[in-house]
Amino acid sequence: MAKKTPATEADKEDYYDALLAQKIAAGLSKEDAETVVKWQREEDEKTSEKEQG
Amino acid sequence: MKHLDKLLLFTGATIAGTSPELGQISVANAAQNYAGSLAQDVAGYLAGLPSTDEEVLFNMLFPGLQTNDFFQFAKADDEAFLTEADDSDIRAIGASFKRVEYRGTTVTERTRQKGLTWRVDHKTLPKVNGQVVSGWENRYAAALKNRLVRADKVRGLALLDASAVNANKVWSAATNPDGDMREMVSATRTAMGQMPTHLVLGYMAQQLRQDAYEAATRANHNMSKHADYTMEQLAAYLGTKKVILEDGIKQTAKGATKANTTGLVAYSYHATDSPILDDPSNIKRAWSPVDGGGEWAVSIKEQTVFTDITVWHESLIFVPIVAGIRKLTVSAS
Repeated sequence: MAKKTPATEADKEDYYDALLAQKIAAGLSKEDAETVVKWQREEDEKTSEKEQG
Repeated sequence: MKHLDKLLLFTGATIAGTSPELGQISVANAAQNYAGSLAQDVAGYLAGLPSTDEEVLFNMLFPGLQTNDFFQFAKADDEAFLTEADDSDIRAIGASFKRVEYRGTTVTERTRQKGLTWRVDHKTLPKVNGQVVSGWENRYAAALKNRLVRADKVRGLALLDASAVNANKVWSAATNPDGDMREMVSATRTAMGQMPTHLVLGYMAQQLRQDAYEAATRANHNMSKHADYTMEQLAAYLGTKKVILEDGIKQTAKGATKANTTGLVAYSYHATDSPILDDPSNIKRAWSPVDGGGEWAVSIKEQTVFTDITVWHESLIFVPIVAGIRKLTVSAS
C-alpha cells in the first residue's frame, strides 16, 4: 500500500527516492520508473493543492 | 536380447547410464526411462487440464502471447494521438505536405525460466496389491503448475503496482467509491488515449466498497444498490470492459499468516485479450515454448525411494506502456 506523502521537502525527496528504488526492484526499467515517479509527484501536488483549498 | 543396444540405436532411443547388459531388461526400467528426462505424457496432461480459477484469473489479468526466448518490441512513445490542431496538415500552394513519423523505441527482452521441483517419497503414494496407483505424477505436476501460476501472478501484480500512479481515497458512508473508480477510469483514458479494458478490484477493497454502500448512515440511500452490483454491472457502470475481483491468497512460508494477493487497492489499465508484440497494451505476458514445444515442461527423475518431479515454464510479464496505469489506495478513514 502506498504511504501518505510526507510533509517536509527533505522527507519528500527521501520518499520519492525510495519509491523509485521500489519500482525498479519490481521490474520497471529505470527510465519508466523515473517517469512514473514524476507523474506521481504531479498527482500528489494536485491532490495537495485541492486539499489546501 | 543379445543385440538390444544396437536395436535401440536404430530406434533412436537413448538409455541413461551404462549400456544394457545381456539378460537385463532395461528399456522398461523406470529409472532409466525417466532419468531426469522430459515426461511428455505428463506435460500433455498439464496442457489438456482445464484451467483452475486462479489460472483463468491470471490469464485475464496478464494476457499471454507466444514469443522466442529473446524478443524485441517497439516501446510506444507518446505519439499515437498527435493532432494537427494548427492546420499544419493543409498544404499551401507550391509547398510540400508536412512530413511526420513515429519514433517508437525498440527494446530487447528475454523470458525467464521459472520452475519448481517436488521430491515425492514413494512411501506416501497410494498402492493397490503392492503396486503404486498409476497417474500420480499428473497430480503432483498439476499442483506444481498451480503454484508456479500463483507465483507469476504475484510477480505480475507487483509490476502492475509499481507501474501505477496512485491516488489515496477514503471509502465510507460519506463518500462514493464508484465515483472514485469512474474518475480513475477517466484518468486512464486521458493518459492512455483509450478506455481501460481492465479494472482490478482487490478483495479487501471490494469489502470496503460494499461496507460503504451498505452503511445505515449513508445519506444517499438510492446508492445502496451499488453494494449488490455484480462485476459485470459494475463494469457497465464504470465504462470499462471488465472488472476483475482479485481475491487470491498467498502464503510465503508454512505456518505463516495468509495474505491477500491484492489488498485495499484498485487498478485500471488497458490490455487486449489476444495481444501481439506491438499492440498498445499497458501490460503483457510473453511466454516462450519450453522443451517439448508447449508452454509447460515436466521432467521426472526416479530414484529408488523417491521421485523428483520438475515443472517449469519460460515467461516474462512486462509493461510496454506505463502511461495510463492508475491505482487507488483506499482506506476506511
